[in-house]
Amino acid sequence: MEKIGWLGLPVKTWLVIGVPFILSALAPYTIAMYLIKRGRIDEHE
Amino acid sequence: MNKSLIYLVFFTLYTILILSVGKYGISKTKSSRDFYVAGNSLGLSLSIFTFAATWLSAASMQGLTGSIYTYGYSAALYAVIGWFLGASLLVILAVRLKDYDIVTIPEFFRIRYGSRLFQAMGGAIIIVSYIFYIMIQIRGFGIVMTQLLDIPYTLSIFLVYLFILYTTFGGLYSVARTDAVNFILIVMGTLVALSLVMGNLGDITEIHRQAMLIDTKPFQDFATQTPRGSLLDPFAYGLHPPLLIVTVFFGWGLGLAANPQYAIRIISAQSKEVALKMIGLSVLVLAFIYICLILIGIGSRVLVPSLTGVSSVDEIFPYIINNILYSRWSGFVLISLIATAISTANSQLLLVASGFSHDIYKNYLNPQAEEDKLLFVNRVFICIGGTLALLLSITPPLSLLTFGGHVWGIFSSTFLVPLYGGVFWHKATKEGAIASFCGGLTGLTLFYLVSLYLRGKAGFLDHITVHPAVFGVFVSFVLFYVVSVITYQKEGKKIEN
Repeated sequence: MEKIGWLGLPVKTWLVIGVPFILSALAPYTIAMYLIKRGRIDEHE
Repeated sequence: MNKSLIYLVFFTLYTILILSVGKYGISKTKSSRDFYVAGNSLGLSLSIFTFAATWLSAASMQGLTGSIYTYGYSAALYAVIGWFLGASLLVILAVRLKDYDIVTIPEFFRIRYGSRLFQAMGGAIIIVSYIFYIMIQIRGFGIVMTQLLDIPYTLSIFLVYLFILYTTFGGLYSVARTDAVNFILIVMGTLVALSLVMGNLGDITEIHRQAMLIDTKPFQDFATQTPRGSLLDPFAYGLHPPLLIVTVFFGWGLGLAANPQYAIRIISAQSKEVALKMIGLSVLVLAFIYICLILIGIGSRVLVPSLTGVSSVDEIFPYIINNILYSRWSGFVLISLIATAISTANSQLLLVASGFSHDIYKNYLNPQAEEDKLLFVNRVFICIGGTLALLLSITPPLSLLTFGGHVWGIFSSTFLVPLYGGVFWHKATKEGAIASFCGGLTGLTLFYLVSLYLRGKAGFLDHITVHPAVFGVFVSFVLFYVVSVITYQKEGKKIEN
């Protein structure tokens, strides 16, 4: 029997699609803000 | 009020809105830099609007929603996650690419590698690839217009042609402002469509519980019946094989990371900080829209497990809004679908024009060409490129989402390695970059031809289990590294002697 997680979606689907979706959506903003805050964007100007 | 009349009112209002906003750039544009990159002047809000509106194409709105309806959640894994990962690479690229004084991405190849030929080659790839991709937008627009005004498909696609030409004529100033209008319409239309679906179904947990039980064909012409439970399975119980899901990243994900339509937004942003925030914030907004589209797709399937009157995945979303969930706001949702097609197509047509006029004509054929002449050539080529895409879209591809992944594969096989390698690796050489570009394109083409020969029938690309871009990117990377190392050492020895 398939294990059902939050919102009625199978746990396997959360792990393979849900979590990567959230992490990959947050990644560009996180990287951008990290580069801006560390002042890395000025290195080559 | 009559349904056709309501639709006509929405379409007329949209036309007036786009015509009035689109004319801004025609008077504002004074030089080719204005035309291609809006004089590098775009602030954060306009940059986000144009980046996100260009991103959301008919492949997203109609292709993805229809694919979610047909295959379930695996369609999100097939495309969306790869796109987001590609955007992370774009952020990293933005830090260095913004240092170059360029107005097109192939121009970077000339400056970095010192080769006019390479810039012209880049321009040629842009022209061919985007003409094929604009075909997707025209196809998407045609499907919606057929529903909206109840007119033949061929007449519908002629209308989009006029829209695209008009909004592109003013260069990026016009494109960015019409993109802002289109993006607001897209967000509102998506929310209206979601409320129509959810209003008929209840909560998300219940939608998933019912989706788990569906075991019908999605529509009559579709080859396979949906296995029970597969709509919520990450690989649709084999309908989207894991190997294809992983390798499609080489087409969609890496194709996005090397795609001039996004990279040029880095250049048009007024500063590096704006460029970085543009990508990061756009993806957050896009993630929200994709969640809505996924729920629309899966919810629609629960509402109508099997459709009649639909012959392709891409027709599902507009058909449901027009027939199953018809309300006084259906016309607004259909207009938002049109907005996705136009906002992507005009950006791409602008790149087709720059690919010819800047990367081939001014760079290679007539370096002395003056600004007025260049602007004229741009507009002539916009007409030629748009007409070619229109003619191709008379016989459109079977699936927008699959076809789009293959076109993006051309960029990952040709632009990706020379672009990122040129920016981040000081040992990259002209010979290595050109070998990578040509080798990647040859590898990709050979994969297509060999597959075609082995399968011996048209439409095989919809069924292969390894994405063709894998081979193209691999050949491109190996040649770039090996040839650069060899030629860099030879250069070093020459200098020592």
